[in-house]
Amino acid sequence: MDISLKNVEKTFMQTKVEVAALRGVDLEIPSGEFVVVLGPSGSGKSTLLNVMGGLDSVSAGEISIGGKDIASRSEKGLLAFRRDNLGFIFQQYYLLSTLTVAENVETGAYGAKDAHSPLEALRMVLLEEHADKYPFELSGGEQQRVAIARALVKKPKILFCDEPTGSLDEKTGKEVLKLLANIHADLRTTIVLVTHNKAIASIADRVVTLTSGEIVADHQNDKRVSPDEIHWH
Amino acid sequence: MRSTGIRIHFLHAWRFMKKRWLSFLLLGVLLFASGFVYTTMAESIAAIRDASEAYFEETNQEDFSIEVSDRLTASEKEHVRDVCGLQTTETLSALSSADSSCHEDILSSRKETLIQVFTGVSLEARLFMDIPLFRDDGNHRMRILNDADSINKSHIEEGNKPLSSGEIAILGNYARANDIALEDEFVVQGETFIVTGFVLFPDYNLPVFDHPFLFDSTKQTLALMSDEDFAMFDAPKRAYFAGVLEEVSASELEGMFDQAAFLTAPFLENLTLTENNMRSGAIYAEIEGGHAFALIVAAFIALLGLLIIVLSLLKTLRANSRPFGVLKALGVPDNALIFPFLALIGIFALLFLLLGFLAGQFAAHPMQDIFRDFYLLPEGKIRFRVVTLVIALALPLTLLLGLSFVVMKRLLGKRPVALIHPALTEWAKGGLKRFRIGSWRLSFLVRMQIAFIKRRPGKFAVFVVGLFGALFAGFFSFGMHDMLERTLPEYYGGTGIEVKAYTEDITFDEPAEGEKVLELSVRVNETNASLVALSEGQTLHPLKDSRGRDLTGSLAEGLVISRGFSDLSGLREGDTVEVTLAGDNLEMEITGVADIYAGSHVFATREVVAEWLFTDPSAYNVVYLSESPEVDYALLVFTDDIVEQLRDTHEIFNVFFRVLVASALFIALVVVYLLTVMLVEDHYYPLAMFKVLGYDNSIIRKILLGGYVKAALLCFVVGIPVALLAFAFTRRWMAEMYEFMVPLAITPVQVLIYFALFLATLFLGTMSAKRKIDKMSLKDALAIYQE
Ligand SMILES: Nc1ncnc2c1ncn2[C@@H]1O[C@H](COP(=O)(O)OP(=O)(O)O)[C@@H](O)[C@H]1O
Ligand SMILES: [Mg+2]
Repeated sequence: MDISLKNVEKTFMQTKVEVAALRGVDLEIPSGEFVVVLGPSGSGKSTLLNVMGGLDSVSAGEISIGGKDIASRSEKGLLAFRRDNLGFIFQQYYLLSTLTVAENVETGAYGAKDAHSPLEALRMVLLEEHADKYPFELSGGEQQRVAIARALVKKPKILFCDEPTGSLDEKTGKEVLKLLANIHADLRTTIVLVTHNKAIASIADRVVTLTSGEIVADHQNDKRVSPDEIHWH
Repeated sequence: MRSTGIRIHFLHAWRFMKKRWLSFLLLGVLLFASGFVYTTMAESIAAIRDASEAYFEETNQEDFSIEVSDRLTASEKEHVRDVCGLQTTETLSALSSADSSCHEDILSSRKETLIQVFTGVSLEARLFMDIPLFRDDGNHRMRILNDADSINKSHIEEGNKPLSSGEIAILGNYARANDIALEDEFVVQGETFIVTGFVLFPDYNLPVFDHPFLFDSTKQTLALMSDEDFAMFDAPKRAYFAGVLEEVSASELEGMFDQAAFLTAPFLENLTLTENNMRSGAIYAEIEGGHAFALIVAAFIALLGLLIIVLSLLKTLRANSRPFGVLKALGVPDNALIFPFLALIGIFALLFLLLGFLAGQFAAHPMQDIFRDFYLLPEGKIRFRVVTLVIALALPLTLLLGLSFVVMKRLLGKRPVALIHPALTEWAKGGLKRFRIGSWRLSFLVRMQIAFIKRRPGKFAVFVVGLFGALFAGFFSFGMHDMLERTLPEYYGGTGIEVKAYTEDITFDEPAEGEKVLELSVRVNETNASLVALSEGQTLHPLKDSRGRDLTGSLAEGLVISRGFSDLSGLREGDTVEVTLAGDNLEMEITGVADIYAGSHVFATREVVAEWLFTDPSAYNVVYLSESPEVDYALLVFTDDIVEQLRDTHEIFNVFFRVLVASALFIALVVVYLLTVMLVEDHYYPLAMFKVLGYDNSIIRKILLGGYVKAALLCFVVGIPVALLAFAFTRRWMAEMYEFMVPLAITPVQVLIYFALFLATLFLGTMSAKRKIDKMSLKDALAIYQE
């Protein structure tokens, strides 16, 4: 499923002042690509991800995924579209504390027509043996992997990741990135990952740089490296 | 592979309930109570209503009653002297024993006079005799009524009507309480009767002996005999007239009464409309208002439960708003998240409501018995009523689910991003900016406390109103506690009277022992009163005012009235009043108010009253004694019996009041607790900000709770005078509505006890709020302000 953004703008009202978070973003992401969106804090990365994934509306411009218009869809239509096609992970893991790991994964599969079993999804993130534990019994990196399993359980075609390693140390962060790289390699899932961490950019097919809501650079990454080889800052 | 359903979300909702089991237990208890209270009241009242309507119809219940003086008027005395040849008869009841046909003459002439005064009504004389029964467990009392022809006919609940001599019917309640069965023998004044049936009478001003509304059916009974036995029975018969409105309305009738009816009918004492009678009027009020009352109480209880659950939901949802946001991002619809909560809460609530309903069905039987005992009514059938079921179950359930749904929908209905990244601006809305208020002369702490109160004025109003309501329930239950103790027991306790010995008629001979007293029913201006005329220099019956000063001196100068009568009539010390009895008037000044709550007593000097009415200062009709008399009297009344009887009935009331105090305090506790919990929830984000800013927990607690605790204490202090005012208002209102005294009062000691309880409750509430503030981790607080 290709993603296509045309002249997308997004403004927020901040105590009576308009703030432009995205200023005319044009972006094409072909199916199966691993894209990293790089930019400093406040540059509009999260906003970009949110509007792309239909989590937030745009102020102007067009967004389509798989040729289908996103911006003009109803909330209900968007919900169904996200359910069938999109997965999300965020900097925080946001797991339900009263459910076990496997149960948390299962929550992501609601209404999916063709889903993995929670254990299959956990196997993909190498956490099968922790299935019956509760989130608080896991480390931060492990919890993030549960969140990834929860996003993957319904076999999404696109995975959106907002600073997935932002709360992790180098070692566990790399594990998470390795997982994402493997998933991309094995399942050909389109991955859009936003981060302020330049080191991470080197694992992607393509790097898009965002500054003050505008794309200032967009190039293919010829020297793709494995997550093991990158250096954290 | 497979499609995953809602199971997992049910699991989540289930674990939520398990984690908050205490809240849910409380909800269950409250819903049970709500269903129980409503069903009990609704079912018992419905049964009574159905049964009573048929009963009143069948027995032709009076619309009003006319009390007439027992003392003969001047012209009647003349008739008795000249026509019947009785020289010394002063009263109608004495005449009934002396000469029954002369007695009938007087009654029918009174009836004729009354029909002239009150046009458009039909009347029937009601005769009754009060007989002491000496039984193994003490003295009981019986009131034998004549079998009426057309108004207030007798109703046989069980067995047969006594038709031949030697047969008697008594109250079923009395029979059950004293193990008397049909066909048993029953001795009345040495004569043996066979109990042939259990009887009821629909005139409600009669079955009350000594207290305006308490009737102790374990020791008091009404009775019906054959006409023959009734006529022959040797005891003074008293009389009143029962009436039915034919061509006039109740208000027209009252108008006739007010328009100098006394001039034509000097024996006229009082007119009481059935609907204004404390006992019968209360039935109508009960039937009409009981339902509404039950509904309000049930709704209030259910509402408390609702509050608990909504708070619990709010909390859980807020804690889960981010995970839920992620799930929404992943395509899980709101309803899949909300529905399991609603379904589980609904099932849980339904279970407890149903239990309450079923328990209420059972409790409706004893409840009806209490009503029946109180009002002497036939038994109605408690049956399953769909309406009750629907109201008891559907109403709270709809409310609960509706509100829960709205709350959840409002919280979860937002866009996923709004849930995952709640914007600072939104949380701070209506808060932070307005913090710079208050005069700089006030300390920072006080300014902050005011700021927190001002931040949510609506919620603060709820806090104050809720607190005040809870406080008030407490004040009232304390005020009612021991209320009956303040009536007759206190009255007789303050005197040395052990026995009251009643003579058959007004007597002039010196008694062998004791103090001569005249007890007469009089009117003081517009209000009926029991006049107790005490002999000069007697010491058995002291009179004191509320400050404990002796009023004997005031008695010599005029009329001393009781506090109860003062409340009833609105008369005060210094007023000049007209005392009326059987057409004779005497102008008197009220020279004191005695600290007595029992009934509508007024006091005067016997010599003055005797001279006025009987032109002989030695007249009396009662002797007050400190021990049992040696000689025979027509009727002996032991004050201990009266007090004991009252205390017996009292027992139920005391239990009732204690339950009331306990539940008022419980509700107060719940309210205060909820209010304090709500405080923290409401101000969560500004509090978090204080945490981020590095304020100490103890300061944060002071900032939030300080203002509210001060407001709560102020509420209590303001509550005292307001409660006292409300007490006075209630006394007046009850006095006006039902001519009945409710001696609500609260002692300083009770205020102190209540204050201590209130402080403890407040302390508990704030403790839990403190815990919440302390538990709010800096990490969470920071997370809120990070984005
Ligand atoms: N909900 C919001 N309300 C107001 N302003 C917002 C909101 N979300 C983001 N912004 C603003 O938009 C800009 C871009 O934010 P964001 O996309 O979160 O940046 P990044 O993820 O690159 O750090 C920032 O200036 C931020 O303050
Ligand atoms: Mg961001």
